[in-house]
Amino acid sequence: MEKRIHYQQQIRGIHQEILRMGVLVEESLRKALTAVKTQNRELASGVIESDARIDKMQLEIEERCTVAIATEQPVATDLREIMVAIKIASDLERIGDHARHLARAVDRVSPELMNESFPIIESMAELGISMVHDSLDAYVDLDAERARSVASRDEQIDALHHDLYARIIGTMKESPELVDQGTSLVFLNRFLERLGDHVTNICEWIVYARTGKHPELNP
Amino acid sequence: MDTKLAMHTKNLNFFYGDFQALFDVSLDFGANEVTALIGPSGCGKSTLLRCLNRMNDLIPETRSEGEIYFRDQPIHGQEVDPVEVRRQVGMVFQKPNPFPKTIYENIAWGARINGYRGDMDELVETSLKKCALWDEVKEKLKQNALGLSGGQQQRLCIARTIAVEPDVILMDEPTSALDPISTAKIEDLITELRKRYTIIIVTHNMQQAGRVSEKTAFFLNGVIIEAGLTSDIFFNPKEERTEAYISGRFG
Repeated sequence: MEKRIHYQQQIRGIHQEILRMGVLVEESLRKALTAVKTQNRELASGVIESDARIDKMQLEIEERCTVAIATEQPVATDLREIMVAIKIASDLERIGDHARHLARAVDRVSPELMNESFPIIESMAELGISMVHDSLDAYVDLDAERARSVASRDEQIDALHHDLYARIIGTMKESPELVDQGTSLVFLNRFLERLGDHVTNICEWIVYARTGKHPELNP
Repeated sequence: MDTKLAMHTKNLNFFYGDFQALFDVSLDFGANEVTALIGPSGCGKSTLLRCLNRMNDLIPETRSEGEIYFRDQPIHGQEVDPVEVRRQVGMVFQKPNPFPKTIYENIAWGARINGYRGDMDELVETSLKKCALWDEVKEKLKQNALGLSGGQQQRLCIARTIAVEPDVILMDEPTSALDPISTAKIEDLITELRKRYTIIIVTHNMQQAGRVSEKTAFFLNGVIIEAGLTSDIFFNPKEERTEAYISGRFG
């Protein structure tokens, strides 16, 4: 007979809340990329506003985890899953911040300059979005194998980051008047690279939840 | 082997008449370690505890097969006196059971019949101090022990046990009849006592097992399902049945 039904519902509830937060973050990234692509300021400000909702979800998930630890004394897989939920919520929150950074580029970088870099930015963001999506799939049933495979794609983002960095520096050298906007692009480039690192962290936490061992997926 | 063994069992089987309560139990108890025995009621953990100081000898129609060693001596050897085994392997029970005598006599009596010839006042004081009870009872050593609170009685029983200088202390759910404050005191005491003694504790309180023990063995229907470091058992057990039990999903 199943026992501690309320407790099991609590853990399932936390799990589902992480997935909901992940979907929201993925949506934000998608909207931010579209906003940059179409120079849509309204869409961009929507992304900035929804970041507050993502931040709030992180706090709510932390609160639920804290209550579960305090009242249910979870052990073994349950305990790992709750710890991992706290960690993943934190990484998702940071990815949400990066969606906001991407959306801000609509205001901070001129369409002309953006057009030059956009193919690489788009590739990085698309890779990031697909990694977020697939890491959430791996989280559904804590699929460690899938998580490892998702994390391995971070190398592609890193390579694009190097390319784009060289390109922006080149542009700034040629046209010093673009240094202000170029710096914004350098930051954006860095944030998109960090996005991949956060997804890699999420993948590491999934492996940890499943196996109890910390893997290093981003050496 | 990492630590010196205080006790170990080898392929131990135990029977109450036709009913087999333990199956092939082989378990090591490291010296100066706390080992928790956990499992649902009737799984054999208390039976094992009573085997370890031959308390089961007192129950008619029981028999055991296999070996139990105290250090490296079998405790069922022809020349072994079960009373001496019980002195070296003391026991504390679920309900505090002080003798209906004075606090002083509760400590002194066991030592006296064991032939203790030292300073009895000093032994009483040291034993009570080791159990963090001295300050509470030093003014009333001549009062009846049954006047103490449940938690104090249990600490007195532990003091009585250690007064005869055992090597191993068996504890059969020593805090299940106590309130949380008294429980915390006993747990602190266990942590303190492990420096001098080997402790084997049966507990139904999973958090207690997690808090006080270095090793844990999980029993089901008389069989060891999993035994190892407490941190492994509670954080990353290998067996699904262990996980289901410690997380309260069955048992």
